[in-house]
Amino acid sequence: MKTISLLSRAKNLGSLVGKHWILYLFISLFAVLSIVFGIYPMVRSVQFSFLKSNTVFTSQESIGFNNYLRLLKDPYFWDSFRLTLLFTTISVPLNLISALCLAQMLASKNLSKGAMLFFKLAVFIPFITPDVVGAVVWKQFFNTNGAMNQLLQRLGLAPVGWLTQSGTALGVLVFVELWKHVGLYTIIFLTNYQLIDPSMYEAAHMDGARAWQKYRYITFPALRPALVLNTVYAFIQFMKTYTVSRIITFGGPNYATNFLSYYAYSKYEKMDFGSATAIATMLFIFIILLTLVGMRMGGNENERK
Amino acid sequence: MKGNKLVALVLHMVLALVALVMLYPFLWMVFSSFKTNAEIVQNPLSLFPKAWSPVGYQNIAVLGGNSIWHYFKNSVIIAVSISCLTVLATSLGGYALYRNRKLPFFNLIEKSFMVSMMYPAVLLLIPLYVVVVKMGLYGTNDFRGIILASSTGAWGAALPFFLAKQFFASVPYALIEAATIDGANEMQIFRRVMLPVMFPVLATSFLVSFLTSWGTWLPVLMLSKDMSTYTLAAMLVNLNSDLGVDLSQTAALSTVLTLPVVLVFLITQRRVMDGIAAGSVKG
Repeated sequence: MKTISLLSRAKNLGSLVGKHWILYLFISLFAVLSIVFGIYPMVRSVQFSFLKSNTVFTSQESIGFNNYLRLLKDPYFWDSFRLTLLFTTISVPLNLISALCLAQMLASKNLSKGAMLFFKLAVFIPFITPDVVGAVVWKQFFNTNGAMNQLLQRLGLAPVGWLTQSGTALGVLVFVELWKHVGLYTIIFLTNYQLIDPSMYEAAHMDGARAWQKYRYITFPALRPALVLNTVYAFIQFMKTYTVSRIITFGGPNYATNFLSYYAYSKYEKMDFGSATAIATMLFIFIILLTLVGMRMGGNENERK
Repeated sequence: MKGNKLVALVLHMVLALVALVMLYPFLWMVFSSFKTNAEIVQNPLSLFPKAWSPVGYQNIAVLGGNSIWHYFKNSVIIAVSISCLTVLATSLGGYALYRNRKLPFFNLIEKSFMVSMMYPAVLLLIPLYVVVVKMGLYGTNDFRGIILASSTGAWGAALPFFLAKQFFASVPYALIEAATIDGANEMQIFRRVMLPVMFPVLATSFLVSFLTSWGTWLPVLMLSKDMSTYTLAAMLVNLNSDLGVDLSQTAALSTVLTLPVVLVFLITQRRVMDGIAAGSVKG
């Protein structure tokens, strides 16, 4: 019975593929990229996380959850996890609020067209600049002998070891990531601002609405979809932060910027493939769970409206 | 009226300050690239060089035994190939999904793509390295592994895919139905009906992809056998990882690396910014 139904299903599938072979041809390249270079390596990575590190490329000796258990007992892992969360919890609202303010300013009628374009370009240009460049230049700026400290000295203030103290080093990375990404969020908000019908503000004005009421009842609901989307984007983006800690601080000083991606990569560089892929798997599961929760919450709110 | 003028003044001042911060790295690298190392170290805050010196550029003319043009050429090869591949894959794939997403495996393919976007891209390179080596896409002068790995959802293909998806969502299905009634087959529908209207989104997608993949360095460092496939960005990372950083050299290489994308972006800014915003609004 079962074989017959399987056979007929296979036949059915064959005829569907035959009938729509052009669509299958169209999707083939996308499928190769998504599966062979997407899902397949992810599955392999999860597999590696259950292997003894030095056997990944040879006999592939399984050790069950040992890589995970070892990490759960590793204080550096927990520090790294907390640090990545802290960085994300600071960066997501900071980027979104800055972007909202910038979009609001750029949408102002007080700006001439030329000025608006200039400022918009200035804010966006870091996003298309290669990430190494921004990291390398800001690193020099915040160096102990760099421009920032010279500026402080000219103002009669004491120099600060920006990249040699834990707190300030993390702050510098938050700043550099803000510099790099805020433009993207700004133009997405700006586009949504410009979609709002100005007659709604006029009507609200006639009804005697105050500025904050206009923001609360017109601007904010209109920006809601962009806000949900940007939050999810930014969350995924900052949880995966890597470049700035690799280029600017090398995870230091004293592990102060040892984000999960960086920690996993350093395990990989020490040939500890098991731990590296176990960290990757846990980070991925954490991101996907929180993203689903976020989307669910954002989606529900939209329906309610 | 007076209040309005004050608001406008404050607004311009705040935005000018923001613009200065945003543009500072560009000013620093262009001016520093014409300074000697000693001058940059001595007075890091000043921008304008006291004496214009070509020494930074002389020091990057040959890097790691290869001329700078070698890395420049590699950056072009890699960025253009990634862009072609992602545009082709995401637009054709997006079209197939738009035509009939209920076909077997189509949903699975799309879900796979979406999920791979969330995987930490940096860490996906570890298993990708194994895949690339096993498939024999790794070696001297072999760009294939780098290009394929960088054209995935985890790396560069996310934005082009959303652009394509957003575009097809706006195409009325009646257009296709009309062509079907006229007796057009699948290939004719694509060539005569879809392709002509797809050109703007293909161009935007290509540009966005080019701009975001020009600075590719980590897949290059991990999936290269030697420097034959290194990009400008990979070389900049290499210069930086040494303990003694040569600042005028760093500034000169940063300038050479940044100039092409900034030029392309300034020429096409409208299309790029509108495209990214449109592709992201409903994604």
